[in-house]
Amino acid sequence: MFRLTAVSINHRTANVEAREKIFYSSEEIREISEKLNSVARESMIVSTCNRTELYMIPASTPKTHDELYRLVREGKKLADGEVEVGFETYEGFEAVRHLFAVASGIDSLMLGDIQILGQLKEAYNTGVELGTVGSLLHHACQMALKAGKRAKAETKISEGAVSVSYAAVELAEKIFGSLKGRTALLIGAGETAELAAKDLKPKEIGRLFIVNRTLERAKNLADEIGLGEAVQLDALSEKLPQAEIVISSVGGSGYVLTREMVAAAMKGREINPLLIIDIGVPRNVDPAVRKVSNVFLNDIDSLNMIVENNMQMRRAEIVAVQRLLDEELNDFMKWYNSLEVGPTIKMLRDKIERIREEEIDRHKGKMKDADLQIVEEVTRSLVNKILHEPMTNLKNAENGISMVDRVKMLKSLFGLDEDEKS
Amino acid sequence: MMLEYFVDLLKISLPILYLFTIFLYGLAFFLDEPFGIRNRTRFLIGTLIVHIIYLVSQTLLEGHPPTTSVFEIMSVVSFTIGLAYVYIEIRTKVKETGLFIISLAFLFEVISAAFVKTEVHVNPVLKSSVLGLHVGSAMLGYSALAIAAVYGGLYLMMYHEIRSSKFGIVYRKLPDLKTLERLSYASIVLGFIFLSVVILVGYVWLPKTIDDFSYSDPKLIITDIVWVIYFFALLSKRLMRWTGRTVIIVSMVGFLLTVASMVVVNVFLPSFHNFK
Repeated sequence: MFRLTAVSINHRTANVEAREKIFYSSEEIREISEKLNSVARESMIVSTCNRTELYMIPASTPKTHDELYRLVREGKKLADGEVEVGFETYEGFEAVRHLFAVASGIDSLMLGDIQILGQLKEAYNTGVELGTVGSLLHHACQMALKAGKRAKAETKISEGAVSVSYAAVELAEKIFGSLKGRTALLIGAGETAELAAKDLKPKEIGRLFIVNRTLERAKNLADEIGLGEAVQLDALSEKLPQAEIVISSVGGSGYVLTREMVAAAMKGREINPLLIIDIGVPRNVDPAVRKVSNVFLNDIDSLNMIVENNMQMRRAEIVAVQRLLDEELNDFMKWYNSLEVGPTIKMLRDKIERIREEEIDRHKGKMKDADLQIVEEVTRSLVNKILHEPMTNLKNAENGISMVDRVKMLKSLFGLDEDEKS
Repeated sequence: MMLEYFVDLLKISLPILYLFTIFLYGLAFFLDEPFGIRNRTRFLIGTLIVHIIYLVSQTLLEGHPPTTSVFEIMSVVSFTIGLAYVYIEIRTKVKETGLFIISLAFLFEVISAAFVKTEVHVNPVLKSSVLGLHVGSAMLGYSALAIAAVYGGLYLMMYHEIRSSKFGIVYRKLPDLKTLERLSYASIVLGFIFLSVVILVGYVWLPKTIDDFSYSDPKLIITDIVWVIYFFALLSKRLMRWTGRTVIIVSMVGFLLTVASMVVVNVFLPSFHNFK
């Protein structure tokens, strides 16, 4: 019987505060691994900012879900009542399916999140290093990683920006293609500007101006991201003609960028487009800027629309991902059942052979040696012929009944479960 | 007789094949349908193979290349548009523009199939192999310019979509503005090269072949004007570093001018450049 159990504390069962408290660092996973080894044949902990999950195959006596949940809490040394979170549990192949769903990103808080694949790989590597991952979890993890990669490559589950700052970068790419070597200008040095700068940096932009009322804050942001030149807000008009992408996110009322400023900046460079993204609320850029030739002006509503469109697209992909996960789960079940079929066939053969021998023993006193030899041959041939067809059908996966059901049925019909226990 | 039936069968089949190719590109573009995504390019290549069989069969049937009437030429243009597009698709891996470009090929093929007639007896000039180079280059050149115009149109659609903050299917599906500009520009360059070959071959070969050849023939003048427009557009892009919408508008204006002047010259003005 497939005895994998998964206990999951995730974004559906716990708020962010509780999830933070239940989060396991790699050191904490190392600390609890000894305890897990004493109760589990195989185990693995996956812990990210949005989920902490324990996958476990019990050593002997199965643990209840509450016991497993307590085990997770004990590892974090949480006092009773300190954090009350709900948890989800998965049994057998459902646990494997859940692992696949996690790897594919369809179970993530941010649908289609691709970071989870790296986090899962790290959890698996830690388990291998600690010796808690055995052949079964090894196979389940390898197939989960494969399922995750397939979901990313074969569906659109991870496509399109789903954050406002990344939507701004995506929009810039739709205009300029590659952003490599381009000049960007950020107005403001707050959290939004920081996120935008972090999303722009991997695109290998050439220059970055960080324009802010307080020069010190602009310098701090430039230092933090390791890119950019801090500029005082008063000098915005001087830098504007050099910029190709402007992202504005300052507080306060009144327009920071007016039509006159933009029109002046576009003089002499009319044929090169300028993208201005106004993420500020209230708006930082005069909407009349849109009328300046070759200037693209988009605001927070535009970016939200891009994000929502992408989210809709990702949601529409869930069915395709689930179909793909079903295929992978089917492969996993085939692999697992191939482990089960061999021993089951052997058990059945042994049992029938035992019955045959017992019956011959019972009657051998009444037979001559020559007759006994004939009876031996006849009964052995009879057993082989009777068993041949059921054995062939058991191995054949094409007859509509799942391998698990066939093995289960066979064990039940011939009482093999009882024999296994005894 | 058999060959005639075969040519007729292909003539009827080709518009259907192009239509189905468009259907597959549409499935992929609008619905992300895996069947369309997997099979669109394969089916287009298959259609082009059938098309070349049709053109070869027509040549065998008529005893000359199928370039003796506007409707025969339309089928060749349809084929060269498809061929040029497949080349661009394979080179750039951009497949989302196929729906629009193959629609243009379909349009030419439908008109051709509806009106084309078998022309067995034609002017002997049309049986020359130099003509093949002349007309073939013209077809490829004008096809490339047509493709440049389609990319230009898509650029303007995308440009408008971003400017008006709509972000619909055009924004999601089409490549970025820079890529569309690059594709349009590359098509113009290709078109210009072929057009140059057409003019060169024409000026060298035509005076020797045609008795009433005239340098002031309207068709020649128009071709020269088109060539000059594209020459200055390409030169301006180089020297004045034109980019973006300016290049696109020039390419579209150039193409519209080409089509309009060709129609005027073919329909209204007398020309030796007519081999009936």
